[in-house]
Amino acid sequence: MINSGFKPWIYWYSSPGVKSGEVGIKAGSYRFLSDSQVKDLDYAAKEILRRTGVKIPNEICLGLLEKAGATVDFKEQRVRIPASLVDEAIKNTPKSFMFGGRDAKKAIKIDTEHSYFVHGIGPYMIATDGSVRNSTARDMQDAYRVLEACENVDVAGIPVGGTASTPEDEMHLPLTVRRLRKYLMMLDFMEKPVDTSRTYVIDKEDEAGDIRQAALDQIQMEIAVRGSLEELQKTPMSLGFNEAVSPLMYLPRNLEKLLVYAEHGLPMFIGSGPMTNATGPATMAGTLSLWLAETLTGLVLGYLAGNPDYRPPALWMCFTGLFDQLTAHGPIMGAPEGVIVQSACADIAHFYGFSIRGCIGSPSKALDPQAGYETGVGLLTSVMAGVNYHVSIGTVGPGEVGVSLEKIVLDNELAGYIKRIMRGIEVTEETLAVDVIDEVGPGGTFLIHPHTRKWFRKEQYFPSLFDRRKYEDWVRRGKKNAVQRAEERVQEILRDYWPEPLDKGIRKRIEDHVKMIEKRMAKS
Amino acid sequence: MKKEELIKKLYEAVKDGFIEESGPLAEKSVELGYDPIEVMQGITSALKEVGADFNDGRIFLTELMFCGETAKEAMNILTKEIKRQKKTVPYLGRVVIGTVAGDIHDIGKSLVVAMLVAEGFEVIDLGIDISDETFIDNVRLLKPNVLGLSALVTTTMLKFRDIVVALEDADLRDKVKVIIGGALVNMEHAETSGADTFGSDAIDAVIKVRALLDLD
Repeated sequence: MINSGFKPWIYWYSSPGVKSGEVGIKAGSYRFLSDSQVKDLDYAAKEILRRTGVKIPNEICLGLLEKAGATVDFKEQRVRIPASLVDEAIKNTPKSFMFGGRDAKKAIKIDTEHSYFVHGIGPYMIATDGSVRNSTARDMQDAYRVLEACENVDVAGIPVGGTASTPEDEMHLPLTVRRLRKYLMMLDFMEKPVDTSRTYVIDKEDEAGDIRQAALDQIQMEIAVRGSLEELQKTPMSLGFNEAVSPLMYLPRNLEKLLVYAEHGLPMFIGSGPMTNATGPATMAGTLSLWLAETLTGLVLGYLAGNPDYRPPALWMCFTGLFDQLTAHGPIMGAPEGVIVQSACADIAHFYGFSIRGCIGSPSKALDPQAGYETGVGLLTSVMAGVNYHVSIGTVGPGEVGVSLEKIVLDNELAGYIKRIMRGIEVTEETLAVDVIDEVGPGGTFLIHPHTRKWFRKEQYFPSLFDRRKYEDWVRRGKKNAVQRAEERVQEILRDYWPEPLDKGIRKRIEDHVKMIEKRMAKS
Repeated sequence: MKKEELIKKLYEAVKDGFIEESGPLAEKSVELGYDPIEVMQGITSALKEVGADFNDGRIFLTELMFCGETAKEAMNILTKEIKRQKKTVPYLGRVVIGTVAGDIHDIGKSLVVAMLVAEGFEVIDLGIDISDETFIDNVRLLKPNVLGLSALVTTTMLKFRDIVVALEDADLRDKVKVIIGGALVNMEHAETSGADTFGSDAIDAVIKVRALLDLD
């Protein structure tokens, strides 16, 4: 993975016995809700679905729901869902699945047991001082390379996107072709799985375009990578992103996409992000009951639209944040209220056997202590609470304003700390070291004991960016603070690090696929 | 085994921390009648590289210290042989070092010792919790070029001044350079205590000792 010209700042990881960053960690077990509280929420959510119902502006979905026993008002596009249908969907929806990038062998398992660090998204590039600019195709490539080089980032998000990141000489091409070429560029740079779930980031023009065709194009591309739909189902490369719009609404485009993924037996994100105080109640419990009602709706829809021979699995998600009463702004995901609501969602999702995706971020606009504290506190809390998929790495600003390459490398270090904390303490006869302590005795040193040499690498996480030097040494090295060191690290990566090239066979298949689409577009 | 081959083996043993090999290799060199000073130079060049590796973050502290231990096994044997042959090692200079009375901190000092040895100094490590009198006696007896004083705790750092005064009282102050060190020690402490300089860490200590002896 590391090219020969790359003088690794992560030298430690190439030392024998040191793993190059574990992929994923065991999810934590700290709880914010007791079982009886979760049952209260289950009751509340089902009552909301029975009494108030949800707006579903899609004829196919409404038809499926009516057939399954829901009460449908076609004029109002309003559906009231009985608890029995919810329970049926919970029971029959697969709860774990593999998720992979271009190499299916390096896929990760999404379930309630594991926890992964995922890069977030954002349309703009943010400098360390908080200044914002539009992104380019080059920015996208740079972000991919930095993400690929960060050993504690398990999944990449589409770093930056939109029309601005289309290379200028491709602007004349049809949207579909541009989108596929960008997907190919992503595959060229990323070995890790990539979370491509947020269409607007792939291309803003999707908002106005044919979302069904866009989803099909992407799935066809992924079939070209895997070789067949069956292989893609075994190791999916993307998830349908089916967010409800709080309170209690779905958007037509999200439903279109949900249908495509469900028909193909491919996994779906289901959930929502009610903003406490505005699109959700002011209480934490109220925000949670609304979120759960909306999430269960998505689950029922995916279940009903799904291919019975290959049921689409679901990963629940919550991107709740606070709508701040003082600044009239939201969602504030780094707020303590956002952190506990998202963490509590893990208790709820796990109760039904589903894994959960959280989304922690700081509203700070610059890379400053606030950004660090809020990301650190929020991320550690949600990892300890058992959230399984953390879309938190590398974003800046409220509601993911943008991507900061420097924050990616800083968050990579944070993730390393958290991974170490969550790895916990191994207690065995050997690690208790009674014999070693006896050998060293009073006043001796453990520093050169073979036991120390055997264990220190396994026990210690070695930061490559955070500073632990002596004061004078730090002065001698230019008195650089963490942000300055992060800037240097990014420059090092961009100078020296190139990911492994995409397999030639796969690349050829994809190029052929894109050419075929180009021909089709030219004819029409 | 040819001399070059033996020196190379010893060099590798020290670099890789093969502690069971270094002593027997040194004994073998004595047995075969090779010049112990020349053999010793192989060891110090290995130690120098290991020190540089540590400084650049390529190896860990425990590995550095272990390489030091590995070297010590061989050096003890070679030093004995050098003495027996009534030869003198071309050391860069002699350093007496110790942690002051009331202070039992050892790690930083040991690191300085390892680095100084690697650099080519003769180092006499008195150990920890060393009384002022012991320092003075050893300076008088061993006539070192440099006296190294280590203290970690702020209260024991006051000892630096006491020892410098004791050196003055014994008419030894102008015969020896004094360097102080420890996690909290800085240049200000060197000035107030009357020491010549301070080392901020093991690497810096070597630089400062070289400077004190005008070696650069």
